[in-house]
Amino acid sequence: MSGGIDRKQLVDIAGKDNVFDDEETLDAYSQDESFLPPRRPSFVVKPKGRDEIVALLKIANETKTPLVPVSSGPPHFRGDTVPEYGGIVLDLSGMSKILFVDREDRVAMIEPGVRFRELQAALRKEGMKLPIPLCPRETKSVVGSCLEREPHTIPKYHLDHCDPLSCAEVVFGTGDVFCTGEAAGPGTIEDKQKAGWRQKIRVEPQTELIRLFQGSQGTMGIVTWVTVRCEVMPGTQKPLLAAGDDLEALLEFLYRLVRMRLCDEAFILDGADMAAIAAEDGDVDALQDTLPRWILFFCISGYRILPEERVSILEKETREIAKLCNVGLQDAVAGLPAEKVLDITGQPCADTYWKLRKRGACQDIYFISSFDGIARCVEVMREFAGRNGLPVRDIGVYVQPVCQGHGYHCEFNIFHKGEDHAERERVKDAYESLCRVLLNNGAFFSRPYDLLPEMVYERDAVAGGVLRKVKSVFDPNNILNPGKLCF
Amino acid sequence: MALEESSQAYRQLREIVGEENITTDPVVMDTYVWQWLGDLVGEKGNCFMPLRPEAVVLPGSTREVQRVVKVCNRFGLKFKAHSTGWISYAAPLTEGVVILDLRRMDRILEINTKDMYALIEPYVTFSQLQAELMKVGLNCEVNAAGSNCSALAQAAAGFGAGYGNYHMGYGAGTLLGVEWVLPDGEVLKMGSLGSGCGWITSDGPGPSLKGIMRGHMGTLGGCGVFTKCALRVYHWPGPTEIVCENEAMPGYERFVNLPDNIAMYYLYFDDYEKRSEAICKVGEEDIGYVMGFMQRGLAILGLADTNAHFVDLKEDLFDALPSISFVVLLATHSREELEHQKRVLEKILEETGGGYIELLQQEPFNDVITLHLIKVGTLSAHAVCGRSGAFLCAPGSNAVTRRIAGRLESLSIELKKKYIEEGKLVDDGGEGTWGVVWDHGHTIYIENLVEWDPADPESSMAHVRLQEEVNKETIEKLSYLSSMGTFVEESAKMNPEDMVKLKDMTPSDLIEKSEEMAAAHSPYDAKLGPLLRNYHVWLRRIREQLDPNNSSDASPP
Amino acid sequence: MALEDYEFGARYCSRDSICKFIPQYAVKDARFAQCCPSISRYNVHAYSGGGRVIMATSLLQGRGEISEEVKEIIYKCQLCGACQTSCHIVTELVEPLEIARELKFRCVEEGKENQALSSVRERLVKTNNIFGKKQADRGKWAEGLKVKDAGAEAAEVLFFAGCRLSYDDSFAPVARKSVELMSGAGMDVGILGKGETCCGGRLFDMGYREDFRKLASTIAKKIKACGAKRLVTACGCCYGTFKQFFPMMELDLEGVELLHISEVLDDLMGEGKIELKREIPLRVTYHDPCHLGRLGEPYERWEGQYVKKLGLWVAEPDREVRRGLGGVFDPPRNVIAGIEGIKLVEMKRKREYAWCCGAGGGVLEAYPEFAAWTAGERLQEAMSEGCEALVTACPWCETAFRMAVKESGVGELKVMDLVDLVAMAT
Repeated sequence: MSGGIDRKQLVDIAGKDNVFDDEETLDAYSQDESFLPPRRPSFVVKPKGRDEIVALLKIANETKTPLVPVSSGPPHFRGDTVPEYGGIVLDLSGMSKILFVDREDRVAMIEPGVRFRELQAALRKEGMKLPIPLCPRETKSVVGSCLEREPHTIPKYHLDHCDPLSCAEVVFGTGDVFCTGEAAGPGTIEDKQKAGWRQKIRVEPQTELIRLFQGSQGTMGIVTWVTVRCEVMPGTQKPLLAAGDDLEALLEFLYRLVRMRLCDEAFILDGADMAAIAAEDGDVDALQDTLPRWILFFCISGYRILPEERVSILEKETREIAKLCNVGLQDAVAGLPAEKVLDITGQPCADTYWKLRKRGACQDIYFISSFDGIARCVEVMREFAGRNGLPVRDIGVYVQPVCQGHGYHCEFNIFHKGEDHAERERVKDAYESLCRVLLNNGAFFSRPYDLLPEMVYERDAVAGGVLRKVKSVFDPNNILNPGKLCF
Repeated sequence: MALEESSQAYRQLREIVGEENITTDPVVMDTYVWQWLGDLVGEKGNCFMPLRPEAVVLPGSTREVQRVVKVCNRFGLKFKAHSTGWISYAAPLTEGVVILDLRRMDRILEINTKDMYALIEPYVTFSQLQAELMKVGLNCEVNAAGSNCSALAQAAAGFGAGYGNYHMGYGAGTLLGVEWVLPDGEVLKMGSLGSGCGWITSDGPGPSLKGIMRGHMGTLGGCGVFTKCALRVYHWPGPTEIVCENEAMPGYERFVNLPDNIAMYYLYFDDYEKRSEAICKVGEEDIGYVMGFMQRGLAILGLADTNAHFVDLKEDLFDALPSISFVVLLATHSREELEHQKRVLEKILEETGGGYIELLQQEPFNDVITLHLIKVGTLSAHAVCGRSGAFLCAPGSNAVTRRIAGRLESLSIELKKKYIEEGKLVDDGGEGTWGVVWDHGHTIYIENLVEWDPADPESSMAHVRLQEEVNKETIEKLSYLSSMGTFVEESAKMNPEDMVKLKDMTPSDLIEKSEEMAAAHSPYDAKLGPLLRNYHVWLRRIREQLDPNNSSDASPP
Repeated sequence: MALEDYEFGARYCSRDSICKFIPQYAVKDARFAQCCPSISRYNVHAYSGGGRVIMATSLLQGRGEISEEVKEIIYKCQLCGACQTSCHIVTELVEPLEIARELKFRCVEEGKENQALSSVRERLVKTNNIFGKKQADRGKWAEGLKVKDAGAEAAEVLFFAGCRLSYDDSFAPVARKSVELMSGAGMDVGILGKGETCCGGRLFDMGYREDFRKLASTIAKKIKACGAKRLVTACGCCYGTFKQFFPMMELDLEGVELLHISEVLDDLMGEGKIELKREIPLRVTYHDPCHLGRLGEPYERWEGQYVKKLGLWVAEPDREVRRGLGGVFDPPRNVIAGIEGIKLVEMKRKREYAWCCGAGGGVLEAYPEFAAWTAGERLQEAMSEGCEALVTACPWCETAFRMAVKESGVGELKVMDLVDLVAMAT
């Protein structure tokens, strides 16, 4: 469905080189690695800036044509960019300027097409870094990641599920342009910059609209730039590992580390996930064979002033806690040095994305859990896999403390052979059933993609109802990515 | 107009909350009408707000709140909830309002040490919560307005900042799951709670409804009722109980056995830029437990025992103290770590040309300042409300960048001095700035406090005029307009007579916009909205969706 | 003073609710953080100290009248003064306690008095004691006791028994032991016996200012007439009346040193004049009676004015802010701690921010269930510290607690008078 829009209207707005309706391109945007059925868009348009987006929204509203924004490059996994009702895919990857990096206020402003590697390089020059999600894929958009509320690996800098996102410019479904937070005004962004603002104060007088656009899968508005909060590069880092079969002991240690703010990076991976990440181009299975079942990674950092002294004191305190938790600390596990884990998990995944390395495809299940829920959900998953013939060995587990230890992002990565139809169907069934079982066991699917929204909003019908009311304000014609979430 | 006792609405409300928990007596209801800042809104010279409620009810549970809200919807009444109730908007701002005093809902329902949250009802104060948390080695961010305030109100509905914002995030950020009775009476269990997954987050599923629940100022009781919430709590490396003596003497508390892993340092700088730099560096080095700053005029207001004592102390101390400062409390896991943090601090001072204010690091001041940083207590109220009866900030409450902080501070200090010289405002030497640091130094939060005499209309209006001048300057020079300052300035205009007077003083472009929006009964929105991308239009649209019968008393803001 | 005299300060109430809680720095847990029985029990803001201040302002401005509901709120207040202690940490201008009392005076002046209290007043005025008993029986508690009749012969110390010790048989031992302990230590003690009348404190706090003035003048004259240098009482309420209400009403006890029995016992034990022979293995807590504690601090009449300095109202001449710190707190604790075997533990609310027993202000007489609830709260607090006994130093507190023990069934908690405890150890 493309409503009444014809190519010429789009070309008039975006230029002929940025409007695509050839089969190959349309096919490329019609599906992803998720279980959503493919659907071709009528056009793919690559706008060059906000004004073009506004113009596109205007005609989309007039013609009731769906618009599906996408910022990251392929492969996509979550179905959020599959145009369920056809229409136009807006590929924002060409809007890829780093608009500014400011050391003094520790902030950068970027467009949707900017990816982690280039942003990190720009920040490094200023002695800063962006806390990033665990080893994101090379093509992942930073803006996309922020809007999806992906957690990063440094719990102490993760003060809120919004982080590191600060402000944004958003074109609502109505076509109105809005700047969130401090960026709203008074005056233009240029005026504000001149006065000394850096668009990093997220709060607004009465509401915090930015939160509506995060987790919305492009259904509320289209973001044209964001600011992200950056942190200083440590002067010294002391990465350490702890490993073993006892998940609960490691969780207890992790909890204390984060609660006491002793470390920067901190997470737990199981052998499968660690192997997939660390094997790089090597043999994942072989590496997994050598690794222990659970591996906790954390890094103590010193910054600019007396960094070694800080690291040494914190390490001492950390070791005392480890002893109390009956956890041994190591510089390397099964030949895998902590230094290497720090290096590879803190940057985008070069070459093949780690989730595809083991079997060629991967289905993620991720949710927010309470502390007590983690071990329970892992157990539920393992039992479920056993009952349903899923090889437990091929399910990776990632536990990430979020919001300074107020909750945990848990991720199960089901590695499978995507091209094997029967296996894919089996994984699809298992994925749906397992998610339901997990939901009943306290797993909160805060970001329901793919096949999950129905299950999730059925459980929380009131939130679904309120969201639909809010959606009607920002996108009254339901043209933005229709069919997603509860819309 | 009070509800007639014979009316169906009254009878239904009484049936819900019980005879003891409803009143329509004018004198009794006046205790909900008298509010701090009422002098700016109602008849000048006292703090009675212009309108009495129809009734005051005290529900005891979410179910009762929900039923009261539904009765209001059914009978064309409005409602407004408040907890400890300490500012003008706690009173009705329109006709036909039923006030819900949530005092009976005062339980701490759970302290979860593993997920580090406390589940509370609306009338739990910060001091109650903090005392229970410290018993299990935890702590919470305490609103610097005072530990006598409702912890839920700050996080869910109101605003404020505290010294703990430094590493615990700002007040609203500490909010996890929320139980929210919407304006139509439906109960929204926000975040993980709605999925039956506990209180661990308020964001999701999908877009976060926290985005319509509150922003910097919150909806101030104007959009439904928050009946329970979980707040993030944090590790506390100090003792399970802070023991002090002479507890009833402001300024002169003494610790008993405070451990040596806690120490307070009061620092001075030559200029605002250096101070901002130092604050950021402290954050970047990740040292310190809580921190904030208060200028010498304000500090002396807080440290003085009585008004007479203030007069003497100002004479003795003002010139002896540096003007630009900030204070940091180190609370570490070990003495060794404390020594390290102190060395880092010294290096930062060396780099920024700062030093220690020895006078304040000694008795009789050290303990009381340290205690204030940890527990807040009532020292802030003592410094401001308690001295003159009324205070606010000009401009309001401001989360700003490092570059803006000092400029905003010096700008309002200069403007304030004129009114002090006229004898209209309390003479703190112009130096009444207070502030805290958010999120490891990412954001600096400033309030430039002004104290006046609420019983003296000229004094009240001096603050309003100052506010207006500051607003004008901040728009022109800093591309900034404080929401809180505007709220107060515009609140003063609610009185028709003063509204006319003030309009003459308002920049003409703003007058036009004010008039345009006055029809919408929200001068606050009228002024702020057009300067902030008409955000108020979107909020109003959202509210129309959530509150089809316009039952929440939401104006202004 | 009149309600109008407090209107100036009332304008500076910022409605911060601080008056509902014990001083914020002193909050040690969530359960026992409240300080005011009235707001804690009835919840509507008007019941708080600040609420009373605002009601007074409303009445003074003619915004409403003393309705039945308002009247009930006014009388459901023990005038324990906890609100004032907390309020005065923040401000010095607002006087919630004085205003709460003035509201009772105003009710009486407008003929809107509480009926139950009206009856109490009637019999008190008629019989000179709160129980309506015969004046002739007033000294019976001392029958057989070797003590001087201070009306007839000079004594250095006048022991003032008060109504409760005089007429309530269960308290007679406290009065007797007080005298015995003092006499045994060599003090020259006398009593007024039949000549003693009520101190009048209850009348004052029930709103009968003029009746109080009459009664108190009489007893003041008698006390002065007997020539004793020291006036000792074992009743917290009598102590507070002499200490505060008398100077407040310009009643002269000049030349007479007022002491509570706890102060006397503390001195005597310190001087080794009371020999403690027995160990008492008991975990006890001490309840500060309001009129001995925060309301037992010296009262100095202030006649001055407020002038603006640096934009603030400053009292000229300087005026002491009443926060209750000057009350009698340490002597009873010293006495308890001086008894071997006793483990003295503090409750969460202590000294100047102690929770009231519930008996004061006419509440025991007019609203006994509210008094019992208030006392029950205190017993719960004592129990939460794992105490076996609660010791106090006022028979009115003890009466309220005994009543509550009976009604609430808080288990085995003993309620004891300080004098009894010392006597047990001798």
